[in-house]
Amino acid sequence: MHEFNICQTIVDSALAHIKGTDSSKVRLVKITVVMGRLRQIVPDYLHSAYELLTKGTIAEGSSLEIKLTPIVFTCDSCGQNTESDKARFRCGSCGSQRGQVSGGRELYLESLEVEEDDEQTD
Amino acid sequence: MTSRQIRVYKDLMGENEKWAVEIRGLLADKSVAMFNLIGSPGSGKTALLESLAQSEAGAFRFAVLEGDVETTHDAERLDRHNVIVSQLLSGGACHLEAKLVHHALRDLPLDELDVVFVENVGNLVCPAEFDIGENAKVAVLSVTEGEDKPVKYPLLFTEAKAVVLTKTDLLPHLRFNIDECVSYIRQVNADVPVLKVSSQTGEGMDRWCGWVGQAVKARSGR
Repeated sequence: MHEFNICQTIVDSALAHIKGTDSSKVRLVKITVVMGRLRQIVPDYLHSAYELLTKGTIAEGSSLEIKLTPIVFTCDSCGQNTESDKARFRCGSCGSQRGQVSGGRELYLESLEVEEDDEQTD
Repeated sequence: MTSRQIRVYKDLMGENEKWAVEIRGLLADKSVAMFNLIGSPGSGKTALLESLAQSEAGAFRFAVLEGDVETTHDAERLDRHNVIVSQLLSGGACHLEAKLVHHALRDLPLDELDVVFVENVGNLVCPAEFDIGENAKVAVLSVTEGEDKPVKYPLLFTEAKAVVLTKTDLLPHLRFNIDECVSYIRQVNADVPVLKVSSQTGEGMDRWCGWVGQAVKARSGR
């Protein structure tokens, strides 16, 4: 259940980013996170934690979008990148198993979508 | 009401990574190596460390940071072998994070050590996600767990610098196919050394101690 700690970081980072804006006029509607498929983080658990952790904040009721990125294996022999949804490291071009994992470990907050009240008050 | 998108690109492991960097600096400064032992509950991680304590082969001085959810049982086991050991209680958490490890490291007599072993909380999933500033992750898998664990929990086995297959004395009583297990390991980590050991018979323990000795030499420059 490391999802809870990770979700806390997601929410804290997002709120810190929009800190200082007038919270009566700004509402966070969506947080987008990019996550590599090699990460063993369960999206459903992240969503449950998200609902709980955003309660009472300006992100309450917002949605969490998780973009999954493929595992990328870079072959040592031919240099080809092979993308996969599973952790099976074999070059798609020459079949070699010698290589480096060059993608699939990503975990970052990509963007925030906010709605701003643009009504003019005189 | 206008809607706008703000690009952020913030690493979500940033806080943990900051402490991991601190740890790497501290260990480099003291010329101490650190290995992160990760495996299921009951896979034999503590027994591996007991074997090292009894071994004459490795002429290195080591301490252990014991990660558990509860109890000091494992620390007491190692204390009986006169190993310097600190118990880290994760208080329910399924893994150790770099900040806690950093605090514990500062309480160890690092000037008198060559290597620190972190015995992570028994779990094949969560501990693999968190960098604790170690020089190498060591995956510990017992032959009672099933051959396919390396492909079921690929992150750990992909990142491991060594895989220790424990309890090999039980093989005659099990349907575990050790060659199949090694081929699963190879699917996710082509070149990783696989060490087959039994703490009951002592078989293979010399190679485990040898691997540690070499890794300590390579990492700490001693």
